[in-house]
Amino acid sequence: MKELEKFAKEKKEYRKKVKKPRIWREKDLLDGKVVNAFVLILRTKGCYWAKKSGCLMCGYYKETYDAEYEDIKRQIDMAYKEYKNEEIVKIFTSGSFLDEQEIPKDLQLYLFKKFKAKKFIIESRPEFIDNLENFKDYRIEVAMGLESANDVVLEYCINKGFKFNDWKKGAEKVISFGKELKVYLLIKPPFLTEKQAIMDALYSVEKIKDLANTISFNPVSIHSKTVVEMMWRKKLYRPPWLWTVIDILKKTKEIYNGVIKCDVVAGGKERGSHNCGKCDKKVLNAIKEFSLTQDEKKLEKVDCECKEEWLDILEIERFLKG
Amino acid sequence: MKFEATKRDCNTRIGYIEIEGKEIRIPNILWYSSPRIPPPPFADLKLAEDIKAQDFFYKDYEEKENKYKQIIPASLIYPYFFPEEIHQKAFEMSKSNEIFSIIFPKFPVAKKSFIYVMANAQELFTNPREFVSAIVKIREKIGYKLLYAPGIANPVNLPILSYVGIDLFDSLDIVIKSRRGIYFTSTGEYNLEEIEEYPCSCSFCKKGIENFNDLLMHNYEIMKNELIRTIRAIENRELRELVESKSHFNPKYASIIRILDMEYYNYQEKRFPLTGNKKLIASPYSLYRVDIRRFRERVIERYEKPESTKILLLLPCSAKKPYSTSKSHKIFNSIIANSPNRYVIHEVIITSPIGIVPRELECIYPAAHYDISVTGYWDKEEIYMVNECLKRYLDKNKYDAIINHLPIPLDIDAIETCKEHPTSGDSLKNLAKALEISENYENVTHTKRRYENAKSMLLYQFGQIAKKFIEGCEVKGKFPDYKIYYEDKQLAMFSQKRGLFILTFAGGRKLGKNYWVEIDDFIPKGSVFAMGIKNADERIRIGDEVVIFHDEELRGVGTAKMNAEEMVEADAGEAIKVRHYK
Repeated sequence: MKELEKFAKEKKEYRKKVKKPRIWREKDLLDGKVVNAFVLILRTKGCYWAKKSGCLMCGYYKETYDAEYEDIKRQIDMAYKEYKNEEIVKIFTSGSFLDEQEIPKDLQLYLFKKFKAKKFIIESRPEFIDNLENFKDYRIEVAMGLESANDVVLEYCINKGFKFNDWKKGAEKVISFGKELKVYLLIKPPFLTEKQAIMDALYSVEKIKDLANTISFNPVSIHSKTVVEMMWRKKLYRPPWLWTVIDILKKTKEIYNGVIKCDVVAGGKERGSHNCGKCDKKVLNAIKEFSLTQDEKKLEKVDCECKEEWLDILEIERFLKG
Repeated sequence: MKFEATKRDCNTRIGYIEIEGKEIRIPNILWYSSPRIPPPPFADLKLAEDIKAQDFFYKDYEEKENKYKQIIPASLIYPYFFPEEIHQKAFEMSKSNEIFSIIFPKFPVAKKSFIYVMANAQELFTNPREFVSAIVKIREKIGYKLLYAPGIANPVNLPILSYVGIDLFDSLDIVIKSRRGIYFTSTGEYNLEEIEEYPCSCSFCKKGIENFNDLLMHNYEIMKNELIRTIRAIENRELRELVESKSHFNPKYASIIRILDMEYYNYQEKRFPLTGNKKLIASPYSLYRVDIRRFRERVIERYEKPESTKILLLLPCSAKKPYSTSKSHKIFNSIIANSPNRYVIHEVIITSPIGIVPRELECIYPAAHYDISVTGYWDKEEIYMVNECLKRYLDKNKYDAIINHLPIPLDIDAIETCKEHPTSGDSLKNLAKALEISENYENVTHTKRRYENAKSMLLYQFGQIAKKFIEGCEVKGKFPDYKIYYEDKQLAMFSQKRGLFILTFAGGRKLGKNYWVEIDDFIPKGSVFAMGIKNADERIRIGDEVVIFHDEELRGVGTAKMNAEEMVEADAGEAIKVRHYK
């Protein structure tokens, strides 16, 4: 919807530029084993769609600056100094790694050559998948944000800038290049009720379960200077209940054989997926354990009296909006 | 399905709809109902999820047979603060059916429907000014159709929501709050754990509230009581008083009333009934209450003083109404009666919250009906209002002399006659002396003055056309029970009960096409229903005397039960109670 695209763009507020890459280490799964992963966030021009308009919940556009060739090369070199041969290297750019406007093609290759990782994980919108042909020799997992497989949700709730079929073509290319595909699905896009959010996630899983090696669920968290933040401040948006997340993970496990992950950003906080406050830690732990073990029993053992309130919301939220 | 309004008060009404052969009273509550959340046993209307109903995003179930016939269409509703063009898109995507359609306050276009569901109600309700503005905007589009505002009603605010013009409420806020352990009374919400003694004797409170269900049922009882109280208040024409009292419990609700009063006079004036036979209890809030302000406005705009009067006598009000039946006014009256030329004297009563009441208008609503705590203390705002009224009044109505018999000084040049108290010996002596100046004027006869009094009263009721109406007429009877005759035929008589002149068929003929209603070709007997009305004079208010025409032919006279706008728009309900017909 062009009106929504215009609104999303108008509401953006850029802030001070950060020029240093961000680096950390974490555990991840590689062929069923838990291994070390090296995470690198490169500062680039960022997501072209965010500049043109942008997704309503996404605040990553603030983490970017107009990095030129030399800047990016310098960032890669800086990062490499800290690299300790972790098996997995994840490179995020607050945009699409494969977009040459963000990272010139030869720097993309420069990075793969430099880090001796068993597996790279990069992120990209579907528009840039053709560039994968340059990287035949590397084991790469491409993480593609789909958010929802429902075109109405994509257009009217997220302002994603593509339709499911555009995305699917990109995803199929990833597979035809012999690369692994990780799919990001959003939990509770704005304007959806908690119940619709569950429907939306499961519908999306059905649509992509034969393509994805990994499905990574992202419960919406409130990024600053976004349309969703404005809504949240007016109490018109609440990040999903953790019970919603649990429900989606359980039901996804029943219908999907690949790896299911969920990193709950700002979990337990007002700005992230949360429950009543009393049970959040327990529930978040269960989700974390499930992500690492894929054992659905981890999700069964949590309970709290606030579940009743969540069940109420599932029933009545639709009526509250009119 | 049709809606028929039967009683009106303030900006709202009581009425009935028929659903599947069952008559349902409006205003009413949609009680949420599910196996987990039971509705109360007294629920007339239930709100339930139909698992087969379509979802806005997931339309798999579309076109399949629904369990329920009345379905609120699934819509995408953006926050109110989003730009209008986005709301327009949402509106274009929204579906409606013959029962329900969503009305978007930011893009209020009404699709044809029976009940309008207000989008963004919760968001708007957090801001009184935006809320009131949205309701008025919506009402301008949907007129007198039914309006449902989801998710905002509770026992404290229900009368206020009704007052602004919402017809249907729901129990959703109560469900959510009950789950959080909130205990409602009619004036507030409290943490159940902090209540040592229940201020309620419903069966659940008697037994002791032990679980969610008990608390929910108690809260439902309170909500139901509040609905009944609101309905009773509309029936008794005391909704405004109920609302004023409720507004003391939440400044946000007080703001809603205040903003409506100060910024939406025209919206309310059209809706407030013109007459009433019930006591109006005035408070400091009442200064700007619509029916009181309307009286003030009409005195300034329509009313003209009896022409022969030259001396203005300003008198204090009395607790007993009409004023002339009070002890103090009986005393004043005996002094006036003893003056050399009593009919050249024009008595005008100064009062709060109404302002100024010429003696001839003392039986008119709300002058004869208001009741206020009389302590002798005047607020600055009241004094300012009275002075403003007097100034505007004197710009239009000229006198040779003004006598002020009030214990408060006014911003005018007047002979002050009140010492200490208006009925003190000195005051009365001063008054009698001051009135001696009446002998300097040509004697005004009782007959002449009675004619002029009636004319002034008719001016208040009908505006300028009154002058033509009373031309050549004779006025008989003792004040206020005036009867007006023309060529020996009675045209009208003053009804104390209704506070206005009621017309005979001949009176209707003399009034001509004023306060007219144009009907289809039939003889109106008993009642004219809204269905039969083609058009109506936009001046008509609920309670007005109206003349009924078909083309250029007078068919009857009667009392308006709706305002002109509703007569034209509504397709059911009694619009006119016919008194005389052809």
